[in-house]
Amino acid sequence: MSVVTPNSERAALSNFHRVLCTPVSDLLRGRIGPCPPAVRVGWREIVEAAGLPAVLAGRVSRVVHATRLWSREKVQVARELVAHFQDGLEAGRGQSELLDSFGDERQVASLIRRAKLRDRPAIWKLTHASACALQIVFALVVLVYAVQALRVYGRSPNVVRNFLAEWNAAPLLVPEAERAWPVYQAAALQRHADVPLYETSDLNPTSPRWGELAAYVAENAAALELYRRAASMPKLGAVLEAKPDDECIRRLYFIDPTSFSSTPENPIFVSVWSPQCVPLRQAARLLMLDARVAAIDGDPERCAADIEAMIGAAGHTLQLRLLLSDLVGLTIGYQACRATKSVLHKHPDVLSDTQLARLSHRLAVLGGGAEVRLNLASEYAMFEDILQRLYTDDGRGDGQPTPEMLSVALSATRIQQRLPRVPSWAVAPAASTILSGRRETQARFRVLLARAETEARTPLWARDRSEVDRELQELHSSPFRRLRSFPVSACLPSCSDASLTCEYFMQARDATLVAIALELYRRRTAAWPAALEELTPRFLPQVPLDRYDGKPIKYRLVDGQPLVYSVGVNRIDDGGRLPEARGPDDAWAGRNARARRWQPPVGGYPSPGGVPVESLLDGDWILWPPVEE
Amino acid sequence: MRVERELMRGAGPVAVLKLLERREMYGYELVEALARRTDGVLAMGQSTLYPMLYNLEAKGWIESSERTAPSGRERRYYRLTRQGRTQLADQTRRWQALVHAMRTLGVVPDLPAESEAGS
Repeated sequence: MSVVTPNSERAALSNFHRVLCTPVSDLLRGRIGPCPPAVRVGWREIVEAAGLPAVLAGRVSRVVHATRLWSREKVQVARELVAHFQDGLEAGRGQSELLDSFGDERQVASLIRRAKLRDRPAIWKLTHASACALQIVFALVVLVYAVQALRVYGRSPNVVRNFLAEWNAAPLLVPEAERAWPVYQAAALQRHADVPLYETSDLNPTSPRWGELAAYVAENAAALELYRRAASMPKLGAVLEAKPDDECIRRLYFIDPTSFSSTPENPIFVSVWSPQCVPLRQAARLLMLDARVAAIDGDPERCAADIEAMIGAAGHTLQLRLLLSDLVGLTIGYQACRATKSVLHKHPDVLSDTQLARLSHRLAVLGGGAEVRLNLASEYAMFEDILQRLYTDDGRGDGQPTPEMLSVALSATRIQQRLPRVPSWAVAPAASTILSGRRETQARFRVLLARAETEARTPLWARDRSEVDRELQELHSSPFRRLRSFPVSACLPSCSDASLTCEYFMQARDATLVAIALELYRRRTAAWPAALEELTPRFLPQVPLDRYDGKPIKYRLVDGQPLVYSVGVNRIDDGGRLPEARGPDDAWAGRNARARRWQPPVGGYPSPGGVPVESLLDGDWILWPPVEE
Repeated sequence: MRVERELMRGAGPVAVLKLLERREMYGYELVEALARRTDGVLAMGQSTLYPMLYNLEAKGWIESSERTAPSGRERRYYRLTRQGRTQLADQTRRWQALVHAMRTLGVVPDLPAESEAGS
């Protein structure tokens, strides 16, 4: 194709226009393909330079402009239309005749554009088609997202169960006169100040603090009497209450309680508060101090009554049936064991045989008998309550997450923080497609909690690293998995950690029973037994097990004095030796606590008969004589 | 009498290809030739002709070039390509078959009869 630009048109070009119309500018504007320099004359200049009557020039300009083609295409169209009118005028046709035969401007522009687009390079057509397809896909995505958003924001929960009322039904059946909780409350009101902090060495009439401690228990004699009376009652009869502290819930469960559908009549169950735990722990601390002071004072009745009251308070705390209250109850029980062993060690002759036997029997049945287990019913109930408040209910056990749930999940999984410029309402529809449905969430929680419960029931000697904990870590490994598994990952308690409280309590309880039996044996024979088997069945039904190896608890006579111990976390008998000191300040208590602390090896324990785990802490957990904590 | 748009959409391109069969022509020349040689039946304005030319060019049936005419003005000339000739032959056969079919139906009279009637 030969191309010629008239001199008149060249003259009409401004320098500015020449700068604008360069090959580089063509490329920058996406004009692909050859573009000879001569074509780079602006179409407006061509029309102006043609010398057409104004009405014809205007027609050409409007049509060319309306084509919205590339500049070089417009130039070509402008030249052609101009030439057409010029030919018509030369042929003697009038302006109006030419205009009439021209046709509709918009239609011409549209047809010309369509025809010219067909002639564009294949790569442009491909790009254009891709862009169109992308636009369509984007529009479809926006449409689907909008529909999803409408569905999500139309969801609402159906709160039908009042778990708090169901939970409180049993304690409310206890007659008021038989409820221990009001007596505990009265005792707390009688109590003067908190129990002061003290060392074991302070419990000595020659100690400078003895006077203070003795005076403190004397001041609280009335409170102690009430505590003993309360602890002797069989039923606590206390109800749980709705806890008003939202910040506490936010920190404990990583969820926003204000997002929940909750009313004062039916408060969210995860927010319940057992106001009894703290007062019962305070009662135990006061009773423990008084028992030790009573032993020094030579008051066996008071001492035994105090320790029994501690055991009673522990049992009452366990009646609350929450995971947290179970842990508090077992801790109080553990303190009762400590108090018993302390009195036996420092004042072996204070308590009578009968009193020791009675303490032994009370301790043996605390927490349900030989194997003490956590009560996880409250965890199931709390999760069911969360589901009913944060998921819809289709009437068949399934449902979808509500907007509140999505907001909570996005906030708790920190996904929202990663998208600071995107409002949560815009992310929520997408999140709803990731989050599991109600039935799946419920099933996953139940399965995981049941497995965690099974692991928690496994004694330390048969236990290894928690598979449930490992799965929970995997659930937290990415924002996507955290979101998908929410609220399972947020609400599943760490049963493996919680169950350690059971294990430590059982070992401490069994050691206390052994210590009582040893003392009773000594009183009868004026000597210590050579083996614990000599204590059975008269003083001990059977030799209790070492929680770390499943074999009878270890016993030795060292310098003529009995030593009772567990092999400790390494499951290796070191002959009753404490772990090595880590420095001059590493006291016995710290070393003993390290030997006790459950900390399985990274690769797991070796199979029976396998190579011992050298990497684990060396040394044993001393149970008797007591190592003060 | 001018043909309707739909009919022109089918007949126009064939007519343009036919005109370009013997020699290259520019736009106005095509408009004039179509109007003159068809007694105005296939007369078409710029609104029809130029989009049609651009379409034919996009299909590769015709090609164009700008040249300076003896008058000194610049014009774009269109000529038939090899592909265009093949298309013209094909389209001609189709039109002939159509006319034959119309003739058998009596829509288009036989040429001799038309000649007699006209004389």
